[in-house]
Formats: sequence, structure tokens, C-alpha cells
Amino acid sequence: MSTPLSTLTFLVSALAGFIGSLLGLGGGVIVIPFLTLVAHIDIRQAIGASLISVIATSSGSAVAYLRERITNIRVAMFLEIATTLGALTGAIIGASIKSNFLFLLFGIILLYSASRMFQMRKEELPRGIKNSLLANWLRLSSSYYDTALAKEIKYQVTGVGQGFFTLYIAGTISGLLGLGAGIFKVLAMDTFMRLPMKVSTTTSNFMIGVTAAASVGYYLAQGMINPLISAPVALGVLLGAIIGTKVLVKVRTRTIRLLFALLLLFISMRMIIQGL
Amino acid sequence: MKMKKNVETERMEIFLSYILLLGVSLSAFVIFLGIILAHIHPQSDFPGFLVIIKKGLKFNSYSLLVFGFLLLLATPIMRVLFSFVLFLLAKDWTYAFITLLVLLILLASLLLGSFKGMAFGP
Repeated sequence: MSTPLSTLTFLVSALAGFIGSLLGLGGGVIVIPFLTLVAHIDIRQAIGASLISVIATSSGSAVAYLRERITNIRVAMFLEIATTLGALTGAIIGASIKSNFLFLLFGIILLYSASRMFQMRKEELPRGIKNSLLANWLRLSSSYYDTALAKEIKYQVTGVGQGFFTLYIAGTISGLLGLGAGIFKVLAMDTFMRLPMKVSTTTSNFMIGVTAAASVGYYLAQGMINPLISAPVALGVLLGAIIGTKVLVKVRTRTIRLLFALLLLFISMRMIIQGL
Repeated sequence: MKMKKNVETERMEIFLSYILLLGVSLSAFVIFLGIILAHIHPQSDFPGFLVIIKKGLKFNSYSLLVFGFLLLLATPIMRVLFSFVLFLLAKDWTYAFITLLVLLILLASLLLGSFKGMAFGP
């Protein structure tokens, strides 16, 4: 990689890390298209760099979110069973399923989620949620201090089984296609478990690093991680993620929802076009 | 009792944030050195992680980059390992079991992935 291209990669990755840390994603949505379409890098090495981007966003932003006490570590650790099991399943079955069909299917699911997210854009916090039995047993309910609302937000958790199942499927798919891990995690925690949006995105951020780490062996052995490409990605993403964490605590949930809905719309369109 | 739980959780969150901070800053520093060196003295194409490790890590751009990326990749795994230890110390058996399970699945997935990756060839 030439020095100007490295610098550009660094800057674009900083944007990916910024958006990723705000929305609970790994930044692959931005890194992969940039590396393949603009930098003309082989898709396999672009996916490898995206894996690095996921781990860097996750670890970098979790430092701040843990200190701000927004991340729900119990929810994260319980759901990590599902995502790592999914990644293991993905590694066992390999890419034997037709990916066109998957792209189309996910495109449609994400398009539906985008419209739901848009309908819920006015909702700042979930209301009237009671802990389910499993949530009680696992002590999942918690609270966090919301700087934007200037108050302590107490919340309860439901739909643990549905959340777990969705994350298992999401883990498998992301193991197969190398994408979509963060989006499905946020959606599952938001839709089924009814966590406050900021808790969903930060807890997703916390988990995606571990899900990605489960696939590292395969990527390394296949030579998909090229350090010369991944280095500017890792450094850029880290910088962007650190800036993103400063912004997340200050913005309103409805802003994050709207951003998330727009991103979902964009990704679903891309996936549907790719699948057709 | 409830208060004690909250204090324990808070302590754990702070400790885990330090683990992540250590992993992230060390790896970023080493990767930064490596990529600067690589731009000052451009080398031939990257031969792969295993080749560099087998040659032994030295003070050159590829060795630094490989070492830096291994540190970064190890960071989330270390986070799970330390969570397990912290839950054990807190005698929180449910979550000690949960994190141990995650750790075992993670290792199984890593090993299986490496074997599959090597069997298929690049």
C-alpha cells in the first residue's frame, strides 16, 4: 500500500470506528466497500481487515463504555455463549450454503427492521417491561446513568430465550459471511429483550470482539490478514471509536435510532442488490 | 447484600476496562511502530504470520506488525479469561460457569478454524 492510500485508509477507518462505536457495530460495513471498491484490494484481505476492525472497535470503545457503566456485562457474557456457539457452527458447516439466497433474505429482514426502527424513532426508553423468569435468575436487570437525560435509568429485561436464539443464528451467519454480527445483536437486544437503546449498542460493542475472535484462527491460517492493509485500519478505527464513545454518552437515544434506521436502509438495499 | 453485588460488578467493570486498555494501547503502539518502519523501508510481499513467527520475532517492520496484531487479537480472549477468574474470585458460580463455557467454545472454534484454514490452503 502506498503512503497516500494508507493515509486515506486510516481516515476512512476512523469514520468506520466512529459510526461503529455509536451504533454497536464493527465498522465492516464501511471498511469492506472502501477497500474493495476504492483501494482495489482483494475481497478476502478486505474481509480480514474488517475482522481486525471489529476487534479494534469493540476493545477500544468498551474501555470507555465499561467506565461509564452503560454496558450490561451479564447480558453480554450470557449472550456470548450463543454468538461463539454460532461462530463454531459456522466454522463446522463452512460456506456451503448459497450466499446469494442469504444476502437476499437478510436484505429483506434488515429492510423490515429499518422500518420498525423508524416507527420507534420517538421512543427514548422502553416502558413497562417486567423481568422474565430467566432474566431474574441470571440477574440481568440493571441501571445506567444517562448523561443526555441527566438521570439514572433503571431497566428490566425480557425475551432472553428469543434473544439467545437470534444471537446464535446471527453468530453462525457472521461466521459464514463475515458481516452483520453487530446489527443483528443490537436488533435482538432492542426488539426481543427490550433493553434501552444505549445499553443495546454498547453491549453489542462489548460482544462483537469475542465473536470475531472466534473466527480468527481460520482467517490467520488462510492468510486473509495482511498487516500492511490492516495496520492503518486498526489504528484509524481505534481513533474513531475513542471519539465515538465521547459522543454517544451525550446524544439522545432518538438520534441513535434514526442513524441506525438510515444505516439499516442503506445496508439492506446493498444486500438485496447483491443477492439478486 | 444488593449493595455488595453492585460494588463487585463495578469493580469488575473497571478491572476489565484496564485489561482492554492495556491490550489496545500496547498493540496500537507496536502496530504504529511497525507500519512507520514498513513505509520507511519497504519490504517484499508479506510472507504470512506463521513464516514470520517461525523465523523468530526481530526488530523489523513485519515482526513488529505480527506481534502487534497478535496482541490485538488476544485482547478479547484475555477479557473472557479474566472475566472467568473474576467471577470465580467473587464466588459467582453461575457466571463463572457461563464465562468458562464461552472460553471453551472460543478455543474450540479457534482450533477448528486454524485446522480447517490450513487444510484448505490459502
